[in-house]
Amino acid sequence: MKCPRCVQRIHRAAASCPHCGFTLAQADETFGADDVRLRCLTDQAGIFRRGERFKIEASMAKITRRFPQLFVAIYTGSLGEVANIRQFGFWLLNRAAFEDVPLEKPNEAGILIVIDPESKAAGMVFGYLLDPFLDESDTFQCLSRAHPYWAEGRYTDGILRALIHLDVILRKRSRLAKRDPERFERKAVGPVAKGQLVNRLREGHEVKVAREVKVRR
Amino acid sequence: MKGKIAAIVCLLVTAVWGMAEEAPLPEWKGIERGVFEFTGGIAGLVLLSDYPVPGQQEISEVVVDFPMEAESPEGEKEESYINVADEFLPAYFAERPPSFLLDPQGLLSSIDNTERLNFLNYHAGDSAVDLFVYVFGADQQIPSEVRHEELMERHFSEGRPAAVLFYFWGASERSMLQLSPALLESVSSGEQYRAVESAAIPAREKSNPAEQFEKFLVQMSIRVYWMERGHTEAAGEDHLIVARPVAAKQSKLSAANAEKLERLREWSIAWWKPVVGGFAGLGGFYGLILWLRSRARYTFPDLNVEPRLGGAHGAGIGAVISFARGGVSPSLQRNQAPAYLRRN
Repeated sequence: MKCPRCVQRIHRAAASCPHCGFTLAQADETFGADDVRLRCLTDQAGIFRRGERFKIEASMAKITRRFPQLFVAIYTGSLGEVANIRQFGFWLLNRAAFEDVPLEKPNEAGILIVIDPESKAAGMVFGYLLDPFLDESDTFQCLSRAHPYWAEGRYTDGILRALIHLDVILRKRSRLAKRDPERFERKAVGPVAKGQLVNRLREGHEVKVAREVKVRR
Repeated sequence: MKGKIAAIVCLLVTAVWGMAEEAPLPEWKGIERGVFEFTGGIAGLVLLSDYPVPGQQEISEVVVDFPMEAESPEGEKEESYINVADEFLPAYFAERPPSFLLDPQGLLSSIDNTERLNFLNYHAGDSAVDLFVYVFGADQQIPSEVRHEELMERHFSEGRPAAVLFYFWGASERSMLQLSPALLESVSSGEQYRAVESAAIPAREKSNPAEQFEKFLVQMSIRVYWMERGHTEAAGEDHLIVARPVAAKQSKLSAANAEKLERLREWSIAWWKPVVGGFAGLGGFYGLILWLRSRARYTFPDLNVEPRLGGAHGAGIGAVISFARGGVSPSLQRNQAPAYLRRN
């Protein structure tokens, strides 16, 4: 877990960044507090042709079919500095209302890719549903697949490559989550209160004593 | 005119006068006739018979010795020819020769053998009529029990039409030519004889038997070509001498390969359906797996994640990379740090 502004590690349930104090409210000050209505594929920068839009939307729909809980959104636009992409992505994921996403799919199930052709940078953010299953290295791998295409200005090809790799990663994590759900549950568990910690220790001690009694018998 | 008349008159007078004065006829003198008849002679008989005239030399019988027909030199030589040794007979006549040149006795040197065989192979490649050459010694003859017609019928009735030359090393004029049954209908025996003669004539110009043989084969190849032409014209354009080609030189390797190919062909005929069906089944199975995978659905357990930084829906900050030309490669961007913390 990292802060969108200072990119420093923060606690999983931190209300604000302990390093820079960043919160969503500060992002609202920068980008606006109102909800934004947009489609899953928003080409504000105008870098996609019509045929390319069809290809990208087909690839996004394929991920949606394979992962019924999730949806993918892509936004292109000029954001100024590279550092703003993280903040913008964090803000957009929490403030956007995607018109072509069913209501039963909240933004927690979303994966947002933000591309700034002007500053030549791209970033990826994801909702809380995928928070235990994805991390920064996974998103880095996806964006790395697209890097050589984006460097040549082939944005569509880069996005398609990134989505293909994202599909691979999500399948792996889904299978792994089925086999070993506890592994991911530990990531999602919130901070343990002192009282709960004492109760757990007692429960653990009782279980241990019961086992020893069984063995002696 | 008067002179001519006078000459004619003189000639007539002379002729009359000559006729008038004939020589007196012979007459018996005294008792000559009586003595002649007494001795048994008959007067006037000498005029009517062949009896010799008394007092004249007797006519002796003239015996004209007509020269007897000289014995043919072959006849004299045939008596000195020797049959081909029995040990070589199977190699010559047991089966169709494996190559165009058959010399089991080793009369040719290895170089001559190779060169002549190459020529015959070249001829076979250029002509529809194969030329087989059996080489015998100059003082040898083919045993009488070997019948040429039977030999041709037995070994050369199948396959490509063939001309078989029985060549006598050093005695090219003794060579004999036999044709396979397919050619006999269109090539007469006279033509065969003339072919051998025309080939032997230039061969005799050479003194070396090897050179004779070479010359002979070249001429014989030409004659065989003309035979082929004649046969083709006689049979028509549609009946070119094309028959099942028989490899004149079958090495063991090619025979083994042919056998393997034949086995492979039989196996493929017998097993192509199961093999194709198996591959089709595997392909179908693989396609089914791909289709099932494409229809697979993946889900994630809904775990309770506490919100961060005030975001109600998500705060999963992923990576950000720069893809500017000439910029930093992705591998160097792995460490996601803010710009003010990077050392440039």
